[in-house]
Amino acid sequence: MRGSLENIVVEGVSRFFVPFIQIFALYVITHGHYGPGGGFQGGVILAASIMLLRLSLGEEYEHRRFSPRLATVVAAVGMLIYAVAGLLPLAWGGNFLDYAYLPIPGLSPAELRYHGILIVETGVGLVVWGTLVILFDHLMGSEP
Amino acid sequence: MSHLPVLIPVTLLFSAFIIPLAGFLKRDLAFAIALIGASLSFVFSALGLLAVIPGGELRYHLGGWIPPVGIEYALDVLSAFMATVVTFVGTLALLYSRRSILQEVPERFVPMYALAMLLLAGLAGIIVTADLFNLFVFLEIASISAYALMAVGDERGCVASFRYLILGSIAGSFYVLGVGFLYFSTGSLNMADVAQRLPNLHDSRAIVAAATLIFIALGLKMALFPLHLWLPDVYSYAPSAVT
Amino acid sequence: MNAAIADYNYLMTATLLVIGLYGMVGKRNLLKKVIGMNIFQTAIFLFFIQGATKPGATVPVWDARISGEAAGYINPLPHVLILTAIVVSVATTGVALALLLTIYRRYGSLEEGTILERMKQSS
Repeated sequence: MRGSLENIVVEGVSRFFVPFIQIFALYVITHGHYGPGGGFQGGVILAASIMLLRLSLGEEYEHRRFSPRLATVVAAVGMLIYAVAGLLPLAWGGNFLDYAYLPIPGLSPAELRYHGILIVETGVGLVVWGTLVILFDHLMGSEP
Repeated sequence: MSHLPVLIPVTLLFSAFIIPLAGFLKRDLAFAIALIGASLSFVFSALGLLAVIPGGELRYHLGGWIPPVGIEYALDVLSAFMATVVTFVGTLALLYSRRSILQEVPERFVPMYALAMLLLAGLAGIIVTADLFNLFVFLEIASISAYALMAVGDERGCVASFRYLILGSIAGSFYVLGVGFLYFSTGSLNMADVAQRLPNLHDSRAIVAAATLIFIALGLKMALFPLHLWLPDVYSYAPSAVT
Repeated sequence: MNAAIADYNYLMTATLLVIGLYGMVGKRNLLKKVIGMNIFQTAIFLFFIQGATKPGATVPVWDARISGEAAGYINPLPHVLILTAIVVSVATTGVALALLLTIYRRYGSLEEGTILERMKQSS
């Protein structure tokens, strides 16, 4: 389907690149504890992929794929992941955000903290993704 | 019961993020969740106040890491009292804000409540935290929610809010600079730890610079006398419930 | 004077800070104020990163071949503080741009003088 720009080169190239950008963003999120990266950076790259689509394919077409309402839901879900990962240890005897008490069986406390950070970084990545797409839509669209 | 210091801002943050989801379903649900979140936080701060009055304070280590390695939340009598007052006033303001917001800005009903929750969460977090940089984070959460809330009303509210935004971000950045000076001089970010290490360094110029910067930053935010220029415009142009 | 030249990196950070402050206060176009705010915040981040370095130390990713103890790696705590401050800066810039958009739609201009005149006319 043609977008509003009617330039097939721009459309083709951006459509081709978006999956690679998103996989790279996933890599940045998961390797945050061992190299540069982490939740915020990966979330920004994910938002950049959506912005690329919006700029090159036109808004009416893109809103059907990743609507602003979906961006709000993604942001809220990410924050809920963070809050649940923080509040779950309260019920099992630890402090807030104490990943050693997360109820995942068969892992030692050090490994639980390791995985707990990954869960929280994913939540942060989702929040940043949703928030930046909402910001972009409000700045570039005609919604109030 | 010992989890109280962290539950006070966390319930507000949690409800702030459930409100957009609930607002998609039904608009009045957002108001109900906001009210529930604020009153729950008020109950927690009142319980905290009752727990610290007999003496002693509640110190809470976030994530199980002991300070100075970890972030710490502390409730002593002064901070529990301030938290109770702030959440009480917040709950009352929310209770009576519904009709006012419906009258003035009905199309932005749901976002106003999410922002109000974030503002209250930021204020409650400032009171509860015992870590210098965590205070900056909550200060900025409260400020950004305030910038957005003030701009919704009258048309001239946007210009007043922009002026507050520029001055407020100068203030936040000065606070970060002050905390940086303190950290590089004392080596710790925990308020009690820094207080312990300061008497040995009373001759250092960096500490004086840090104290000045933090004082100016907080004075800008509170609209202390010479730095109060942004306040009258904001009060006149914001929607009534926000004030 | 020798001390000032020896700490030239801190001098440049202070220069950026003052440039950002001038942009926020001295320029009349609202967008230039936002740009000045970003320059100001960048100067503060640079100050933190300069304070985190140690002589002869390297990137704080642990590797037994490089060094076994903490003195071989630079202090990673200020880097984490800067990450948080960058997120705050992004959020503030986003809100500022949204406000600018609403101001432009209402008053038709981004110059401070014109906006104040139109505010007085419409009140």
